[in-house]
Amino acid sequence: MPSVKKFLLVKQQRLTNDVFQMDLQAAAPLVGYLPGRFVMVAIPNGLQQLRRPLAIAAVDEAAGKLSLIYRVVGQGTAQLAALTTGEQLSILGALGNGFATQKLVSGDRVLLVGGGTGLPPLMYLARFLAQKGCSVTTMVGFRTQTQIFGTQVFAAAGKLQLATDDGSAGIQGNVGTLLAAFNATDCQQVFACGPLGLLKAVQQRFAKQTMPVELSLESRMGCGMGACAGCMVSVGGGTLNQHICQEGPIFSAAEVQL
Amino acid sequence: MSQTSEQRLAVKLPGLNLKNPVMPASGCFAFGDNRYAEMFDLNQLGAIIIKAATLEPRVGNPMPRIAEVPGGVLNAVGLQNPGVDVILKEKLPQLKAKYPELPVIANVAGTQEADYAETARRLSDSGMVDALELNISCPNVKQGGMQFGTDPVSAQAVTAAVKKVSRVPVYVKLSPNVTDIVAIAQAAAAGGADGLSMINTLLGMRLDLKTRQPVLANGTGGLSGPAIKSIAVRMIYQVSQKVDLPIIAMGGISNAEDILEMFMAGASAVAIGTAIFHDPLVFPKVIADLPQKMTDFNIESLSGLIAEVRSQRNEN
Ligand SMILES: Cc1cc2nc3c(=O)[nH]c(=O)nc-3n(C[C@H](O)[C@H](O)[C@H](O)COP(=O)(O)OP(=O)(O)OC[C@H]3O[C@@H](n4cnc5c(N)ncnc54)[C@H](O)[C@@H]3O)c2cc1C
Ligand SMILES: Cc1cc2nc3c(=O)[nH]c(=O)nc-3n(C[C@H](O)[C@H](O)[C@H](O)COP(=O)(O)O)c2cc1C
Ligand code: FES
Repeated sequence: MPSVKKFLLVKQQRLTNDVFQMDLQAAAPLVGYLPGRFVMVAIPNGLQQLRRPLAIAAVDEAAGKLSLIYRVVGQGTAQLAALTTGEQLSILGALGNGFATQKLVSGDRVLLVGGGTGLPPLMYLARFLAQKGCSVTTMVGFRTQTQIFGTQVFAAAGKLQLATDDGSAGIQGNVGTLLAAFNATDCQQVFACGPLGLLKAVQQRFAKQTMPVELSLESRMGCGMGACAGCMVSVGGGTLNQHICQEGPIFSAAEVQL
Repeated sequence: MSQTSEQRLAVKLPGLNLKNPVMPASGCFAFGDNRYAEMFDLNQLGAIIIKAATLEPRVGNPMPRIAEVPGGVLNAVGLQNPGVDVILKEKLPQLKAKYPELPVIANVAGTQEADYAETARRLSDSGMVDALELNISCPNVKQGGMQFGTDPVSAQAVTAAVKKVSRVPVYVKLSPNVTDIVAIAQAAAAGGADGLSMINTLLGMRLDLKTRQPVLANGTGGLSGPAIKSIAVRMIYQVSQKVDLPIIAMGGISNAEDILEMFMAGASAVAIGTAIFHDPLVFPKVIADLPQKMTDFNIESLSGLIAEVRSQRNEN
């Protein structure tokens, strides 16, 4: 069940020039904050009516601790970046379906593919699957070295394959380059989150494979609660027939129309 | 105070005996089948206005459908709904099964008089709705919708066509995108409307500086939220001077004070849309806040306030 809670901002950290991490503390334990789910964060100045959807980057449910990682792209995220320790945020969560990890068991091999602001939910997922004993390989792409964040988490959870457009770190190229070299028979499940181009590349790369491939989608959202029809996507041959906020944000690559 | 807090909040409108005047606005609460319903008991609501119903299913507009402005939201959903038959077979029975006592207002949209009337007939014959809200004011569809709400002759004709077939009271939902809202309200009254509902969204637009293109795929969208409240208050005030029909007020309401302001403007009930997105618990909150706010402003009961405001209007 979603709930709206006040969270105390305990730490605001700058990870790169425009990417920030907020560590937040709730007064009570959190329930249902699973990997791939998201929260809707109210922008505390009163002018922005819409809450901003942000993925769960890390959580300690029992301790009421939540971390969000966000890139400043517009007015709402700029306001979030200006908040200082001790301020309060109203957060609605946890929303959406989350990644389907139930069938994975210790020893299973999984592939995570991410880029840009698609990385935060994969950071949580990588830790979660590593704890389950899965063997986690993560492919991440950045434009250049100074934009890199989150890679320690992926390296600690398993194998990291890094690409930068300019070759300043990892191999020169992008996630597509890494995907082309990947041995797809060696993997039980794939998870991807990132820009549309990345999701399409993953969908195509594994189109002929039988293992589950899960894509995390983005959309502008009104409610995040399945009430406004602001976030529809076409799934399973239907036309704009599912809510990204409710039946998603995670969809099967075999079903979803990008 | 001599009245119980229940009596203080109760209001009576054609077809609607409401324990309090607060309801979700059409399109902002689906058919009650959303996750807000997990957060509070919908039985607390005065009534519910469900998403627009059209004769045939509608896919709506392409994405993106939502944009933001300071103090408001632009939407171009485009009346996406599964069509009146699925609503009657699935959505309304599910709603009635969960909340048998909750009064239901069905929002009716269309592209021409005949399909408005047929949709209205099927909904009102079902016995599952207490009133209809005739949507002649949606700015997000190319055909129908607002074109009926911006021309007094069409507004009167479509109201009369729906009144002829409806067994339940009909509230005509007015568009603010007109020069003279009173003329449209009078036309709806002449068509036999039992009440008015106002206001729908204002036509707006935003451009993306990087792409130089509209943010919304539809180009334009409808503006809602606190940014439009003063326009709603003005229009309700003007209409209630000249037209004696009860008004369900909406447009930027987000707290108990806003509700009282709408009543002072001439409302008999209120709907809340955009504010839900910011505050998922806005309904239980405003319903709980109303009695104290009424006391603060020397209002014994809402029905008393309605009578007082209306009697002053008639003197003018
Ligand atoms: C399920 C989900 C999870 C997300 N997780 C993250 C995350 O972990 N980290 C992160 O940096 N970003 C994430 N995003 C994207 C993030 O929501 C947007 O970058 C953010 O809302 C932009 O807000 P703004 O006020 O700065 O931008 P503005 O452009 O000023 O926002 C205007 C409106 O557009 C919406 N909007 C603008 N860009 C996007 C976008 N790309 N996606 C969705 N809505 C948008 C805003 O929410 C707001 O309603 C996620 C999006 C979704 C749907
Ligand atoms: C996302 C969204 C969808 C809407 N859909 C409908 C609709 O289907 N039918 C209708 O009559 N009004 C619709 N409206 C208008 C609202 O019912 C209401 O008239 C308007 O938003 C003003 O109220 P508010 O400021 O409280 O949101 C919609 C508004 C929004 C924001
Ligand atoms: S954002 Fe409102 S239905 Fe998904």
